[in-house]
Amino acid sequence: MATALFFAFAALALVFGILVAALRHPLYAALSLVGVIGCLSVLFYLLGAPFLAMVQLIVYAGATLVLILFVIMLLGLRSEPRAPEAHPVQKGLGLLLCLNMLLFFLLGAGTLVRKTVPMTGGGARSGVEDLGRLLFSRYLLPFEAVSLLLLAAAVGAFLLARREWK
Amino acid sequence: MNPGILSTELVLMAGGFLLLLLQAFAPRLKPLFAPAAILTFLGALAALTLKPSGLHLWGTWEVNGLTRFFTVFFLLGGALAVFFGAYVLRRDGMERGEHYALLLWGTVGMLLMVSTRHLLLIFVGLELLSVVLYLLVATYRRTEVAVEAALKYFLLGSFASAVTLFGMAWYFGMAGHLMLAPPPPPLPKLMGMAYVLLCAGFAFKMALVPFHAWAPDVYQGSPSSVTPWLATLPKMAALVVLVRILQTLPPPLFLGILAAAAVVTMFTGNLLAFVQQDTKRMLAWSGVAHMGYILIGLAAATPEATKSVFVYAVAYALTTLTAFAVLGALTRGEHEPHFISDLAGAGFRHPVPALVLTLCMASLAGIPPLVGFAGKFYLFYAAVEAGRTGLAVLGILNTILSLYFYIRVIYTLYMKPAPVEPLPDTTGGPYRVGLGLAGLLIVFLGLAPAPLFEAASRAFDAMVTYYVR
Repeated sequence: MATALFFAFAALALVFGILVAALRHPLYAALSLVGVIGCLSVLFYLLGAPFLAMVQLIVYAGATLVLILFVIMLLGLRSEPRAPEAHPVQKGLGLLLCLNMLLFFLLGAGTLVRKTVPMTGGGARSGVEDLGRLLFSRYLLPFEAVSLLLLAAAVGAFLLARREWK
Repeated sequence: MNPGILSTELVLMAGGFLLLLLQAFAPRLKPLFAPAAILTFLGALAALTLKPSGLHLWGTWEVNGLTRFFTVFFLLGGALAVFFGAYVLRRDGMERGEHYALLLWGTVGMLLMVSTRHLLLIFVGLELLSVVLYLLVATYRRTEVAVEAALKYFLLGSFASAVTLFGMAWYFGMAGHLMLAPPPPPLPKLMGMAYVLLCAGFAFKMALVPFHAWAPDVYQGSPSSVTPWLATLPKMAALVVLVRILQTLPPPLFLGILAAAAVVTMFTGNLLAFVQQDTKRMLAWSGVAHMGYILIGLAAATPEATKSVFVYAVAYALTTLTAFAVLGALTRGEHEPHFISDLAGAGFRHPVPALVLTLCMASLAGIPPLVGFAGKFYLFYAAVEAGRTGLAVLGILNTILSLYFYIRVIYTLYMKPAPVEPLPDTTGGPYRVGLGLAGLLIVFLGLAPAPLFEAASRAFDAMVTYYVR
C-alpha cells in the first residue's frame, strides 16, 4: 500500500515539476508548484516524518507560495514571452547532457536502493519532540546561525526597498 | 556549554547589532560607525584568546591552529576592508550603519565555514556570507552596473548554493551523517557525485573555471566600498572548505581532475586578463588565474603543498585587497568605468596610490621581494617536490604570461602622458596612509615571510591531527 502510494505521488510530483518549468503563465506555474509541494509532503509522511510533512504544507504551500502569488499578481499577469529559438547545436548538446544525467541518476538510484545506509543516531524517530531536542542540543549552533542569516536578509531587504537614502 | 568557544562570533554579532541600532536611533554618530566596526574586529581578535582549543558542541565546532589562522586573517582583512570602504562610502554619501553590520555578519558566516566539518553549519555559514555579499553589491542601488552585478551574482550564486545543498543531500544519503570524514574504504560509486556537487558550490565562490563567469561582471559592477573584501576573503573561506573536503578523499581519485582544473583555470584567467580594458575586470580575471595557481598546490596534495596554498591565499588576499582599494581612490566615481588607460600620468600626480598599485601589480606578478613572490616560490617549489614538475612549469609559464598585463598597468601609470582631464584622487589623506601601510605590509611579508610560513604550517598540522586521531 505504502509503496503504491509512494510511486503514485512521486510520479505526480514529477508531472507537476515538469509543469512548473513548462507552463508559460506564471500563475499556473506557481499553482503547479503547490502541487509539487503537496506531493512531497505526502512522501515525507510516508517516510515516517509527519512533522516535516505538515511543515512542508504550512511553510511552503501556505506562506511562501502565497507570497509568490502576491508578487505575481502585483507585477501583472502576463504570459512569459517565448524565448528565441536556440541554435540546433545548443539543443543537441542540451539533450545529450539531459540524457546523460537521466542515465546517471537511473543507474545511481539502482545502487542507492540496494545499498541503503542506516542513519547514525536517532534512527527513525522524527516526532516533534525528537526534532525539538535535536534543534536545541546538537543543532543549536546552526539553528541560531540561521536566525542571524534571516536577520541579515531582513535588514538587506529593508535597505534595498527604502524610498530615500539619508 | 562554555560561551567562550563562540567568543569571536558573539563579539562580531553584537557589534553588528550595535551599529544597526545606532543607525536607527543615533544617526548623528555616523562618523563613529567605521571606527566602531574596526574596533569590533579588533575586539573579536582579542576575544579569540578566550577560545579554548579542542572540539566542542558534539564535535561540530573546532578551535585549533587552522581556525585561529583563518580567524585572524579574516578579522584583520575585514578591518582593513572597513577602513578603505568607509572613505569610499563617505565620498559617495552612502555611509550607513547597515553596511558595517552586514560586513561584520558576513565575517561570522566565513568563520562558521572554516570552523567546522559539519556540512549543515558550513552551509548556513555559506548562505550567511552569500546573502551579505549580494546585499553589499546592491547597496549602490542608483548605480546601474552595481544593480546589474548584484542581480547576476544573486541568480548564479543561488544556483550554486542549490547545487552545494544537493551535494550535501547526496552525501547524507550515502554516508548517513553530515560530518566531513574519510568515507569507509569501499567508496560507494555515488559518493563521487556527492563530492562533485559539493565541490562545485565552493568552486563557484572561488571563481574556478568553469564556475568563474560571474567574477568579472560582479567585480566591475560592485562599488569600490566592497570590491576589496568581496574579491578576496570569501574566496579563502571557500578554499578552506574545499581543502577539508579534499583531505577526506583518498588522493588518486581527484588529483587528475584538480590538475586539469588548475591548468584550465590558469590559462583562462591569464589569457582573458590580457585583453581587458577595465582595471577591475583585469583584476577579476587575474583573480581567476591566481585560484588556478592555488589548485596546483591542491593537486600536489603533499603537506608542504597544502601549507604553501595557505601562504598563497594570504599573499593573494592582501595584494588584491590593496589593489582594489587603490582603484577606489583613483576613480571618476562608481558610475564610470575604470579604464586602464585612465591611469595614464597618475604615477607622478598621485605618488602614494600609484606606488602602492605598482607594488600590488608587481606582487601579483610574483616579482621579488614582495609577498606574491614568496607565495609563488613556495607553491611551485612544493609542487616540484611533490613530483608535479609539469604543473609547476605550466604555472611558471602562466606567471610569465601574466607579467604583460600587470606591467602594462605600471607602464600606464608612469610612462604614458597624462590626459587633458587627469584622474582625481577622490579620497583623503588617511586613506593614503592606509594604502601606504598596506603597501609596506606587502613588502615586509615578502622580505620576512617566515612567520607566515610558520602560522600556515601550524594551521595545516591542526587540520591533519584531527584526522589521525
